[in-house]
Amino acid sequence: MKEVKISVIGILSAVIFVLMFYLPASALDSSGTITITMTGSKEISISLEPINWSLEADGDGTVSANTEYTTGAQWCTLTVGGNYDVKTYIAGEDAVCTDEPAYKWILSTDGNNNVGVYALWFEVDDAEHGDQRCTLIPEATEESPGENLWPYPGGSNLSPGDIRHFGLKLLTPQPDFTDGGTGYFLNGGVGMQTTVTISAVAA
Amino acid sequence: MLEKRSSLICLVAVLITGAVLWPSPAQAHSFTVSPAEINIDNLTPGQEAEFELTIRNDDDITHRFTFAAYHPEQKDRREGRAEFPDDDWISFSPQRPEIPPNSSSTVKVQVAIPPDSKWANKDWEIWLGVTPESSNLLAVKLYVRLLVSTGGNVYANPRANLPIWAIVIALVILVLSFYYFRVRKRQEKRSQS
Repeated sequence: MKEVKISVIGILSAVIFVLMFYLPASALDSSGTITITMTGSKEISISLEPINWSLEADGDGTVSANTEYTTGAQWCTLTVGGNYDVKTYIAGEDAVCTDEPAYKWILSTDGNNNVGVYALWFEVDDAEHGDQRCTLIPEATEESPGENLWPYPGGSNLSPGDIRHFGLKLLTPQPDFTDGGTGYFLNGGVGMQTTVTISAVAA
Repeated sequence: MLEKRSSLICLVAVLITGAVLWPSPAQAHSFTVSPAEINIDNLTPGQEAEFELTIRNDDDITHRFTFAAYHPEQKDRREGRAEFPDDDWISFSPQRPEIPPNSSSTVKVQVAIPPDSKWANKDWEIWLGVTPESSNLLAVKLYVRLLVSTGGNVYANPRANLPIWAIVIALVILVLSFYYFRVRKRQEKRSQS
């Protein structure tokens, strides 16, 4: 009888030992309340028009080395939709050859071009809001969505229904090589692809 | 002719295709994301929270959307919010929804904090970037602010986190109990015989 008691106590000890780990967790499970707040029906939206730039330098969308091109400051219309104020940013990236991805143009960080280095700016000419800028477009990083597009320094956030205009300015790289006084790119006549990202977040 | 060709380059392939293949390249680029801001409070490390994002494609063509987490600088975060530690704690389903023109779709977002006491009592912010896949020169990306605050406890999933040593000790106690019981029984039989 005594032996049976000892074995029962042993089994109970083992069960209690395991329950020591189960019970606190079960208690937490029943008491924890997660609150998810969706902040009403706030929605954000921006639209751009146009979204492509047809370079007309030679009538077929081609550009020359070490040359500036501009769309004009009223080129693209940004319209704020949704129902919430937003802050907007602009960022560029390296341009990649569509036929040979190893051939790239690096996006300039200081506004100077070089061999294989090109620069992009955005231009704003808005006398009504006292906003006149020509600002270098940086590359987006993990910490930065790019340069502030709007609000500009000292300006206010954009509200639903606001309309703004901006343009782009391109400075192409210096030629990869020169022959007889004429500059050439190694991959002349092929496409270079890049994207300029306009981003928005709730203000 | 060859020299002339090589002295010229195309700026952007999409610009060329836009000019050659689509005579009217001026297309709008518009979509909406809601909610613009999400606040998750009292999320215990070890637990998960789930919510839905709604994306409305306002364009007249179908778009496939992609998601990416983004860590804003302190100046861009809400006051008192620290950087969210790890993108991998956030998942999207579906990961690349295809949304027809002038239609909406919902995406489930799951936030799972690992069961570690060092993640208790924190206030974080991360931005969830939503963008349509495209090869146009200009792209739009909308960020949703995700604010996550953790509670003071740590939720330990009993099945997943029961320590192996606890199971071993429990088994040892059981085996010893049976062994003791059998030994005593044998001794009892011997003494009787």
